[in-house]
Amino acid sequence: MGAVSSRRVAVAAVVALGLLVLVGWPLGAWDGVDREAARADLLAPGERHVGERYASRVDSAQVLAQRPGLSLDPEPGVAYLVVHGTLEARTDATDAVDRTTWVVSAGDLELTSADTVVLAVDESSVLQLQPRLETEVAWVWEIDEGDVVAGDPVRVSVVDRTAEESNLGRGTLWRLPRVGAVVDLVVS
Amino acid sequence: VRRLLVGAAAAALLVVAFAVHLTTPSTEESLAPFVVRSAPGEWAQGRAVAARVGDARVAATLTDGDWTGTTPGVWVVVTTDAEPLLEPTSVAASLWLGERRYDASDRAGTSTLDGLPLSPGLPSRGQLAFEVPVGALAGHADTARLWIGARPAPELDSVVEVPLDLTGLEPEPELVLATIERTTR
Repeated sequence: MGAVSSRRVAVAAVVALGLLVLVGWPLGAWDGVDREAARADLLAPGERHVGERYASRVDSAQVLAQRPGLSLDPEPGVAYLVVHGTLEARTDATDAVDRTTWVVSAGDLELTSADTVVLAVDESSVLQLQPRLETEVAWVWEIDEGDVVAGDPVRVSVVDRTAEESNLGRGTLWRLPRVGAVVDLVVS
Repeated sequence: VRRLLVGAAAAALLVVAFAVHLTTPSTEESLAPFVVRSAPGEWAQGRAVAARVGDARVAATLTDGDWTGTTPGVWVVVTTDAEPLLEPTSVAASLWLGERRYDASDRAGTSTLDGLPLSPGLPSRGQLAFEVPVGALAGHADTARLWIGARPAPELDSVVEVPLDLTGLEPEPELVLATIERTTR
């Protein structure tokens, strides 16, 4: 009786394992992880990087005394690091600009969320990105005067994220941030 | 025989569970607005907004006199009459080109119809401006659709849908936005 029961348990376990394998296979359970492919690309200025949400092109960086798009005099001791390039929504609907998509490292300074992103053409704030419309933009960070000066090297990291449908709210959540590409620039 | 039946029933339930999973509507589909179809030149009434769509033009540059907007694509500008039906609100408008949705541009601010709050009983005429890639317009000019609803987004609400034929429209070098004015229904 005991032997029969054990055999049944063993058969049930094998069947359950087989079912798990069959269900897991199409869901990607046996896919390998290619760490090399997941590594951030080192791009030259002007090279395009295509992520799931945005395509980016990082062109140049400069330090300005005046904030782009504002005619007011800046506070004393303040400067603006401006990174020029393009941004394009890869989504199928008009999207907002996530100001944490480009991150700048300059020495010990780590600039994450940009203070503003403006259109290169008229320096108005970019609030919408239209699908597949590559737009010239400038990312602006307020910094202390002297923190970054002309001639300094800076590294711009382009952060990719993966779309996930929200379970609690509605719409798309952009999760799993990781650096998809880096571009080294010299500030002019 | 009984075990076979139980096994078959379990397998059938698994198949049904998979089918339910595969056919469950996405959040986007669950929240999609109810579409009220209309034709150009005709008033149509949704739950919150009534609208009538007029002519469409294409331009390389848009201006309201003070602001001038260039674009790496083209502007599609649609003359539209709209009236909120329940409470003061702004309209939300989108242009569909194929499977892509282009929301009305906010770059012209209050010079376009969607940039101003409108009041019930006071229909207004103005223009909606959409910034789209040249290729997207060329590929879907004959099947474009315009959605007009109430802000912030017409989820689980209604939208007025009007087909637009944008074929053969040559981009004008510069288009001056018309002043928003009162109209009648």
